[in-house]
Amino acid sequence: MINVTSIGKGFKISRLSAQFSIAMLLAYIPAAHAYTVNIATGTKAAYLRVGDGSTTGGFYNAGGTPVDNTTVNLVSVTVPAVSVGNTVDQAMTGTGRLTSDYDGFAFCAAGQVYIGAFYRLNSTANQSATLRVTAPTSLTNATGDTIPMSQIRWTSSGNGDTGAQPIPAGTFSGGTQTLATLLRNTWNESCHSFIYGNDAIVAAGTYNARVTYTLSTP
Amino acid sequence: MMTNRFIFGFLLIAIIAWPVNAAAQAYPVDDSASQVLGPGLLKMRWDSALPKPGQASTITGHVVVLVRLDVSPWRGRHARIYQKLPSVPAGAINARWTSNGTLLSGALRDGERTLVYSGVINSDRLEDTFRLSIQADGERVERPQALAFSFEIELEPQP
Repeated sequence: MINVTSIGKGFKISRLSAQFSIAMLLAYIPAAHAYTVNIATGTKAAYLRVGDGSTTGGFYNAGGTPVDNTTVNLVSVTVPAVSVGNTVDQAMTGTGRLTSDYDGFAFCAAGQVYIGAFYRLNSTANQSATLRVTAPTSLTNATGDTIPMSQIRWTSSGNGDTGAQPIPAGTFSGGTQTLATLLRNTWNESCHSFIYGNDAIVAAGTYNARVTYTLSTP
Repeated sequence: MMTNRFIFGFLLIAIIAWPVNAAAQAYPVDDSASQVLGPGLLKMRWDSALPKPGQASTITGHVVVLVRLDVSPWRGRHARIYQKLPSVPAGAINARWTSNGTLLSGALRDGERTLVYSGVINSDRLEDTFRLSIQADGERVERPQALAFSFEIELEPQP
């Protein structure tokens, strides 16, 4: 009995010592801390230029930033009286700057209209932006005579480009039509050459219509 | 009583010997006095106008951090101090920093650590200014991320 009691006491003391030791060790280790830096996402962006455009700070590939440009560019053709309605295509002439805002490259030829679009997304999702154009059903002159918009079509090209254009050739149908689906984080640009079909004899006059291009992002 | 004294003596020796034996063990350093300068959310800019084929579309931000490490528990000891960044779900976080010299300049990826100090701890506090550049995969950072940097110390055997 004596031995057992003695062992028990000894065990008690050793446990106390162990607890004290553990307390010493815990006090020796400071609490963990951390400074935290909260990072934002990359900026989402959508860019569309038809005809003229503007950037600040240089070209886009050099850190420049596109800015609003409210210019409405004109595409026109004057059909000689003797040629009206003879079904011979009439090349139209566009206005606006011909260089790319990406790097300043002279991408379009004289008379073409530059169209460029870009969609930047902070996601790996395969999302795309949609480029559409909305046109009235017809061009109209001062006395109310009309020419169907379907009389105007366009081809698509770009200096130095081979293969298919991202914004391909087409014909105005009147109403809204989809021109292209543009994958995120890709720069897309094409030069459009407009053509008047000249398929019908119309009254003399200046016929106008305004078309609007829209880039829609998910 | 002999047994009690033996056990107590063993524990005392263990306590005294512990720092030497624990040389490879890392302990967190209190850096609660550190301060991140600037706005709460670090603005990140795209590194390139367009991602190159096969390359990540990276974003980078810059921030200054006043680093203040409480190393008083280890004053007089030889030690190595590391900066750590835990793994981040968005992944591929790269941090580079320059210092004023008290701590080392360096770089690390998330999930890793990098040496910022090696030598004798001569004061209660180590202070420096880190100019951090943080780069991430802009397509994977779909929402703001909190990067919790921390420091840990490893004691070296007494010479």
